[in-house]
Amino acid sequence: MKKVVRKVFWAWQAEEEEQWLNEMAKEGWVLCEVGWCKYTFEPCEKGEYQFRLEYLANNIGHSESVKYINFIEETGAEYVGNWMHWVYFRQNTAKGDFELHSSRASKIKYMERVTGLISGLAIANLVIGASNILITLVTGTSFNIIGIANIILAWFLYRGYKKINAKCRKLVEEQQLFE
Amino acid sequence: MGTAQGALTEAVFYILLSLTQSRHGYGIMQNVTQLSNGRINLAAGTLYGAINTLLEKGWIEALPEIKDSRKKEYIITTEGLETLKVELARLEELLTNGKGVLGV
Repeated sequence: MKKVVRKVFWAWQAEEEEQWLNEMAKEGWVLCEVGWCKYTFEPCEKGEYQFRLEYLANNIGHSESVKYINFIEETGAEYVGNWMHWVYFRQNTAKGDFELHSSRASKIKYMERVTGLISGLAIANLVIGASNILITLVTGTSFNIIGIANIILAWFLYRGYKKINAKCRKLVEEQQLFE
Repeated sequence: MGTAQGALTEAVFYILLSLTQSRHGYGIMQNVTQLSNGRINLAAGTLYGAINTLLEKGWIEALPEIKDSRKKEYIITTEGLETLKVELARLEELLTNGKGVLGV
């Protein structure tokens, strides 16, 4: 018996997403398939798995991504699936604590990949929104709802960007004292 | 060598030390945990990044792949060994000075 849950996590909520997946595993439901805002679970022993997410620099078919996923699997974790550049890994809790990043430097690199994505999307929305509104102003046509929506989305993304960026900057500061 | 080389990260130091004999990724992780008495648990993603950097630097190399085994093995190069020795001298300096000043 499988269970499908529809849930939204934004790019800056990867930690919350991991937590949620781990809680599901604690209740005896392990993620077995990932889709767009769609999570498919199958029964497991309670607390059998621990989850980690990674944001890849390249798309899933890229040789670098394949190499990375193979390497992680060789260390005892399982690749569950992906959505865009996000990949989902699980490891049996009997194998000990599961982490993908153990140094500040590699955590920072990971966060920078995510902030790169979010800021790119924010800027694109800002530019599209602004040009849409500008066109409406110049031509004097009716109220531009799409342009406004783009600007609101850009602002929303910017807030998400700030959240991750703050975490990332804290690590960079600490890195001046400890590696 | 003097100031020519900065400090190695703990992870890099222990990875290089582990590769004085050939090991695959998981073997490195296990060895580092063992060497550090469980203090350092190298995470797979961090190790992956470090291995790629060390390969680029030429401090380690990948061994020719063995049939039947998809796990890639790595080993330290002469250059990597030299780097380790320089680092060891640097650590010794820190230790001597630290002990000398603190009188411990």
